[in-house]
Amino acid sequence: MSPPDGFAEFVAARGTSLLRTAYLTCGSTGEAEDVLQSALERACRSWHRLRADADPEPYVRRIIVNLAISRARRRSLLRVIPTHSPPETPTAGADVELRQVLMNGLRALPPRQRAVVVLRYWEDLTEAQTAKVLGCSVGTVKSQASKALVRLRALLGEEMISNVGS
Amino acid sequence: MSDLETELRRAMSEETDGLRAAPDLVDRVVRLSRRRRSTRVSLAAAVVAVILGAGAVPAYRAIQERRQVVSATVGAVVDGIEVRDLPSGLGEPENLDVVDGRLRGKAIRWARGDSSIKVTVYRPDQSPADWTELQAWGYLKEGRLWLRRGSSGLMSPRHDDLMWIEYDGLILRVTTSGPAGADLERVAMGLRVPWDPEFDGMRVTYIPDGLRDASGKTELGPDGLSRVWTGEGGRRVRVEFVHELRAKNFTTLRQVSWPAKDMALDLRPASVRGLPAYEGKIVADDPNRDEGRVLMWLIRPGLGVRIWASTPLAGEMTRIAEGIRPVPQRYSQSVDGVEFTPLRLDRKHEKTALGHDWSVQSIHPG
Repeated sequence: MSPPDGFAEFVAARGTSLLRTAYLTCGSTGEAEDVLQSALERACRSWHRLRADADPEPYVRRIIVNLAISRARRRSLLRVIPTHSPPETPTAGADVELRQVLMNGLRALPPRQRAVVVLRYWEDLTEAQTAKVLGCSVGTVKSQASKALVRLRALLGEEMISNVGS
Repeated sequence: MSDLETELRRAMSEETDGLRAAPDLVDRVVRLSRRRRSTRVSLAAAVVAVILGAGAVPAYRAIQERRQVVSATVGAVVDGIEVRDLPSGLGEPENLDVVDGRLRGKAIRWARGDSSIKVTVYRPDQSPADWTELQAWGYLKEGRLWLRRGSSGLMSPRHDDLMWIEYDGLILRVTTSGPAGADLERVAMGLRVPWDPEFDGMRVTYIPDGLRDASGKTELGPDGLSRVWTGEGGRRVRVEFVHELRAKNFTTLRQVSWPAKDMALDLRPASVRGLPAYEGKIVADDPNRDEGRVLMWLIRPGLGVRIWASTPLAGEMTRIAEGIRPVPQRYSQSVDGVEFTPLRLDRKHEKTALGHDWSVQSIHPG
């Protein structure tokens, strides 16, 4: 069975970018690959509709983000897969260390807040676009983004923030 | 403020820099898509058949669809779904066959004056995966995410139309007008989807109120077959039947196969209908996190039962366990969920084999 027209080209062009979004919203490579595969499989089934409408990427990205949130919620019930814990006493240091602290902080956010951060600051979507992807109001996006940043600051610690700000 | 966002962007960029989509991603997606098109029921039955072997005839029954309507206080039934918690004074309902865009279904509608309630049941061969796909199909495009039951749902902005995926293959919708709108969620939460109490040759006769069959089907896990019921507030129970060497004795029964990371720890002796059992806590990665309780016992060597329950349901485990009974043997046999009686054929030579396109065949030489 061959893929629908244009599907292979789309995956070749956007697959890596979508995988990165999946990774950031899921927090692990294995889970990201699973989520991306599931999302693309759904897109493949509806491909004829997607192509007629517009650019399929927002639709696929939307599935990815929502799959990641659903999985994270399910995982919080099942507790089968470990969640990453933020460092207890972060220390400022080299860029690699800062990156690690930030990524651990991102992973420690609740799934919906993490999705908002990824969509706003990684995908550079507007608040309205982010709200559309997540199926919530702009106000919710604003409050979730604000809470996420407050939480990240708290996780990073005052010392780290002052270094980041300097 | 902006510096933290800048650093976040940089961190995310650096963190994902080394990631590349697999070269065979398209092939895998297309293969998966093709596989999903073939009937899921026969695939599951075939896998069960391969794993459990020809002697496990009851496993076929696990896959059978047997929708049962068992209730004394049902307001109405539409396509097997019981409607409860209806406001009073709505009068007699009318039954409808509906076509809503891509979905066809059956509905029941009450109307009095300007107040109406309609409950619609769709059983599509191919369900939308989640609410995003529901919207992509044209339903409740302005709707907000609603997660009180099912896997994914949408509520209209005016709170008069609610549609959700109860599970793969079953979509439910409640629509109201006028004063009945105040009862929308109550009616939605009161819908009862009867579940099949039998699977894997056993019958589950008691599940606490408020729990719903999470997927509408039996799940094949690494150790056996199981079903999951879930409810609000993280309430969750899984009944799992473990077979063969996995249920040789308590030592093997307490071990959970990869990839699950759950372990049963701090086991204490218990009893289920006079049979020795063990009850303990569930531990995954973090031993300090509350994962619930597990109760396990051997019906006989080679057949064990494990009940996994979230902590709020731990007190119900014994009652659930004592409600589990074997299903009496039926005369007729089942092949892939289809019952038949091979008259004049000698069952001693019966064989079950995997046939063309994942079908399951029962062969009676002679």
